[in-house]
Amino acid sequence: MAKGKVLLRGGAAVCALLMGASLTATYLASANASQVHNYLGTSPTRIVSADSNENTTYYASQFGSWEEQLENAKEVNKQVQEEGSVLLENNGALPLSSGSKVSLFSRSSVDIVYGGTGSGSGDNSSAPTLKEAMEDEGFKVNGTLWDFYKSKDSYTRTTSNEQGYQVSNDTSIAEVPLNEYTQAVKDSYSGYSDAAIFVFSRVGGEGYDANSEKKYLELQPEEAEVLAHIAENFETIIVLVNSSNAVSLSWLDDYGVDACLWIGGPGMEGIRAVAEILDGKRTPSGKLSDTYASSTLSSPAMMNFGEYIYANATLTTENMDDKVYTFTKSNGETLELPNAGAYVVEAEGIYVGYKYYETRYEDAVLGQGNASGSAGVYHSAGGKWNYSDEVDYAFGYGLSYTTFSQTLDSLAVDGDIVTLTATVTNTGTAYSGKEVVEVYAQSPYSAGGMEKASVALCGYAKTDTLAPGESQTLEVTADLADIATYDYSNNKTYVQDAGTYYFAIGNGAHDALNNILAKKGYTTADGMDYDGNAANAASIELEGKLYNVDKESGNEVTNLFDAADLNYYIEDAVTYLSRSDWQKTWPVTYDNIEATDEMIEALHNNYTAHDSGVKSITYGADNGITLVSLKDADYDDERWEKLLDQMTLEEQVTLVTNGASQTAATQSINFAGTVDNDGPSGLGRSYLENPGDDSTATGTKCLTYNTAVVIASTWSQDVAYARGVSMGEDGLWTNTQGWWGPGANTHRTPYSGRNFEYYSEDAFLGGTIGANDIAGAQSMGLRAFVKHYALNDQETNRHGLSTFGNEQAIREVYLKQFQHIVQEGKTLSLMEAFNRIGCTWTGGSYALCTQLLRDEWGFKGSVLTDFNFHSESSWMNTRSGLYGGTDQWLALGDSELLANARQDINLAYEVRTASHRILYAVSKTAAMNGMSESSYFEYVTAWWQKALYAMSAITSLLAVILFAITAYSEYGKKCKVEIEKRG
Amino acid sequence: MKTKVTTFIPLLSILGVAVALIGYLMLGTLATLPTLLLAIGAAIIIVSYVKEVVLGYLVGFFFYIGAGCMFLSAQIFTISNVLTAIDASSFEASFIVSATGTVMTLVLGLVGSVFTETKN
Repeated sequence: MAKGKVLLRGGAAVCALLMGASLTATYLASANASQVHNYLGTSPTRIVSADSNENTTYYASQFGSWEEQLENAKEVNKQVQEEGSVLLENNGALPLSSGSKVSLFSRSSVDIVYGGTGSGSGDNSSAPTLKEAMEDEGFKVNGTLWDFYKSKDSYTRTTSNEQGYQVSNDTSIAEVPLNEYTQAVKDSYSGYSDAAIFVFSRVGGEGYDANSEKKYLELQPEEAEVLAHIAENFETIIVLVNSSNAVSLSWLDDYGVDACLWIGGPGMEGIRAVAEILDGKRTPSGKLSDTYASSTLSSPAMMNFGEYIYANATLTTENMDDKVYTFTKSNGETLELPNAGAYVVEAEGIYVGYKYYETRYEDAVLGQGNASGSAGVYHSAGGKWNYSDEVDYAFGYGLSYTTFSQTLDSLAVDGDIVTLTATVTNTGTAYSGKEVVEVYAQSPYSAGGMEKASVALCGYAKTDTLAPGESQTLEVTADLADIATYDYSNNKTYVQDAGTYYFAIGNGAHDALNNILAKKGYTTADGMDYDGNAANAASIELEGKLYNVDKESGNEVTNLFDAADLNYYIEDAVTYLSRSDWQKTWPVTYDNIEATDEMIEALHNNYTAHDSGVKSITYGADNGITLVSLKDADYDDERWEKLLDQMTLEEQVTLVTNGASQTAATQSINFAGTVDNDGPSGLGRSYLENPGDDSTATGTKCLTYNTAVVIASTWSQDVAYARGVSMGEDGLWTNTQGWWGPGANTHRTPYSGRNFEYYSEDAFLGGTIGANDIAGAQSMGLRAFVKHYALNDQETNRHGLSTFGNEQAIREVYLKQFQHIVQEGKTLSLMEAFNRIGCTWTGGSYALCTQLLRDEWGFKGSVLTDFNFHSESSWMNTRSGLYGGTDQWLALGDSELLANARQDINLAYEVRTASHRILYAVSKTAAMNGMSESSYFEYVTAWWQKALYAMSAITSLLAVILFAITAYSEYGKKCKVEIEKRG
Repeated sequence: MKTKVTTFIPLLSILGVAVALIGYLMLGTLATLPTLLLAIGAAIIIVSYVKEVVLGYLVGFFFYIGAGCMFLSAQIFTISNVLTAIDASSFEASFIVSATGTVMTLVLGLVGSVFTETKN
C-alpha cells in the first residue's frame, strides 16, 4: 500500500467528513438561529439611527450602569426575602446574638436549594453559601462540621443535572447518615454550641412531580436521626425550612425545636437576608402563602394526582415527549393520537388548600356535613377528623420578632366595594417590624346549595415598618365580585346569594375563621381549637345578585367549560367533594376511566379554521407605516390593518411560528425583533455595558431572584412591584424584551413539581401579587408571558394531560389568578400549558383562549405555546392552536403553516389576526427603544455565523481538491501510461 | 493473486448500513433520503469491490457522510432534548440502533476507503 495514496485518500475522506459536519452545523445553527443567538448573547439585527440626537429611549433605566442595577437587584432580592420569610416558631431563641457560634446541620446546609430546577432555575454558582453569608454577618460557623458535609459529595441531591433540569423523580434527600459522623465532628460541637441550625431542604422542578409515594415532603428517617442527635447535644435548635413546596412540620415538637424560620427558595442574595434575619438586623414579616398540613398527603386533591391512563388507550409508540396512544371507537374506527392517553380528575372541586381545611373545620365546629368523620383522616387521633391534628400552620400565618395587635375599626359598603379599616399596633418593646392585615370573607352557605369555602381571602395590606409602640391604620378594600360564587349548574354565572356575609381579620385564614365563629357565638366549648375575637369580625346583609357581566369588558359571563367536566361525557362519572357530606363525597381515585367516542373525537384535536368571511387579504402594500409609529396605538386603531397589509404572508407565518427565544424581526414594518427568555426567577442573560450593543456583554449574568412562593409570602404588592421593576431593569441591561414568566398556576397539591414557580394555593393572593410583579416588569418595557395558562397542576404526563374539573373550581380556583393578572396586571402575553382542559389542548381551546380570555376578560395581547417541535400530527399543531386563539409558537423545526395558509384563506386570516396581537404586544415594550421614523434595522452576521461559513468553505474546498488529486493519483497516471503505450 | 484483509473493510460498512436501516425502520423513518443515500453508498461500494475500483470506496463513503449528516439533522432535537433532559433523560432503543448503525457505517466506510487496495 503506497503511503502517499493512503495519505491522499485519508485527507480527502477526513476533509469530506469535516465538510459534512461543518455544513450540518451551519444548517442546524441557521435553522435554530434564534436559540443560538440567545445562548451566545448575540443579535441577528442592528438598529441604525439616522439622527443621533433623537431621543428614542421610550423605556429608560433608572441606573447609570449594569453594576448599579445588579446592586439594586441584590437589594430587591434581600428585601423580598426579609418580607417573605415566615417565622413559624420562636420561643425567644431568635434572633441570635451577634457573633454567635453556631453549628450548621444537614447535607443541605452546604447545598442550599436557591430555587428550583428546569426552566425556572437559575445559575446560582456564584451565590454565597449559608456559611459565607453568616460569617459575613459576624457569626462564627463550625468549620469542622461544614467541611465534613462538604466532603460528603456522594450525598449530593440527584434531582438536577448540570443544566438545572430535574432528570427523574428520584427525589432522595441525600442526607448523611449519623453513623458517618466522626468523633472529630462530634467534638467540634462544644466550640459552636450557641445554636444548632438544621436546614430542611426540598427541591421541586419541571418535568417531574415530587415523589408522594416516598412522602418526599415529610421528614425522612436519616433526618430524624440527625435531629435526635442534635437534640442530645444542643440546648438551642433552630430549623430553616428551605422549600418552596409546602412540607410537613409536625415533627418540630418531637425534637424540641426552639425556632423555625421558613425561607423558601431565597435566590442568589436572599441567603444573606436570611443571615441578617438570624441576628435580628432584619425582622421577618412574611405570612404563609400555602397551608402547611401535618400530612402532605391529606388534601383531597391528592386522591387524584399522578398517573392515570384511559382504560381503552393503548400506548403505540413512545419517542421523547410524544407518546402515541391508539383508541378504538365503538364503530371500529381506530385513531392514533399523540399524548392523549393520560388524564386526571380534579374531584376535590373548590376545596383546595385552606378552602378545604378551614371549611371542614367550621363544619366540624358547627356539627354539620359529617365533617368529623374518618374520610381524609391522616393524623387525627381516634379516626375522627380534627383540625389541630391535621394542620400544622394555616394559610396566612406568620410571626415576627415583635408582637402586634390588630383591631377592626370599621366596615363600610359602597356598591360592590367593601372597605375595612384596621389599626395595627406594635406591642413589642425591642423590635420594629411590619405586619399584614388579612381580610377574609364568608358567604352564606346552605347544605345542598352551591359549594362555598368557609373563608376566602378578599383583601390585604401591609403596614410600614412600625417601631415599638407605633400604630398604623390601614384601609383595605374588597370587591364583592371577588367573593361571588360561580354557579355552573343553574344560573351559569357568578352569583351573590342573599344572606349574612362575614368579614374578619386575623393572623391567617384559621384565625380569621375563629373570629367569625366567635362573632357567631361559638367557643371552645363547641369544639373550636381556641376562642376567637368577635371584635375582629363584622357582618353585613346582602341581597341576592348575579354577576353575569364582566366589569372590565362589559361582556357576558356564562358557562364555557361544560366539556371540561367528565360528567359532561359520562353521566354521574364524578362525585365532587361537597361540604354537604364530607364523608360520602370524599373523592375516590378515578383510575379506570374509559374514553367515550365523543371524548376520543375531542382528543383528536382536529380543527379547520373559523369561517372569517374574508374573500381576500392584502399583502405587501406600501402604506409607509412602521411598528414604532403604533407604539401608543390602541388595539383597535385602524392603522394596524394598514400595517398588516404591508406584511407578506411569509413574514406573518414567521412571526407566528418562530417564537423560540424571540419574536421574529419583520422587515416590511421596520420591526427589529425581540429577545424572549426564561424564566420566573430571573432572565439568566449576561449584562451589557451598553444595552443597545450585544458586543459589550460583560459575562456577568443577571440575578436569580427568590422563588414565586417567597414573593407571594411577602403579602406586599409594593414589594412584588419592585421585584417586577428590577426584572424589567434586567431586561433593559441584557437587551431582553420578553420574559417567559412569572408563573400563575395554583398550588393544587404540595407535590406539583413546579409549585416553586407559582405563587400560592390561593387565587386572590397569587393573582394580586402576580399582577403587581407583572406591572412592574412591563413598566420598564419587559413583556411578561405569564405561564402556564391554564390548569398545569401536575408535571406527571403534563404533555397532553386531560384535566377534568367542574367550571366552578376551574374559574374560582385556577383561572381567577390569571384573571387578576390580565385585568389588573395588564399582562401583554401569556404562555399556554401543555395539558388539555377537558379533552382539548389549552392552546386549541376556543373557550379558554378566545371566549374567556379575550371576549370575557378583554385581553388584547398575544398567547404563546410552551416549547414544542412543529408537527402537523402534534396535539399542539398550528391549525388547532390558531383555531383556539394561540398566536405564537415557541417551537423549533419546520412548520407546514405557510403551505397550509396559502391553500386556506380562513387560516391565513387567523395568521394575520395572530400577527396583529403579537405586534400589538411588542409595540408596548422596550423593543421600540432605538426605533423611530428615521431609524431602520439591518440584519447582521454574528461571529459564530461567520466562523461556520468559513469552516464550511475551507473544508469543502479542501475536500474537493484532495479528492481531485486522489483521483488523479489513482487514475491520471494510469491513463497517462495507457496513452503513452498507445502512442 | 493474494487478497489482503483490508480489502474487505469497505464491505463491512454494509453491515453498518443494515443496522442503521433496522434502526430507521424502528424509528419509522425508513422511507426517507438517508435510506436512499445509504443504499446508493452501499451499492457503489459493492460495485467498486467487484470492479476493483478503489476510488469507488471513497465515493461510497461520501454518500454515507450525506446520510449521517441528514440523520443528525433529523435527530438533533431528540439529542438536545435528552442532553438537556427537558422531556426525556434517556434515548429510545430505536434511536440507539439507528445511531449505532450510522456511526458504524461512517467509521468502517472511512477506514475502508482509506486503508484498502485492489485484490491483485
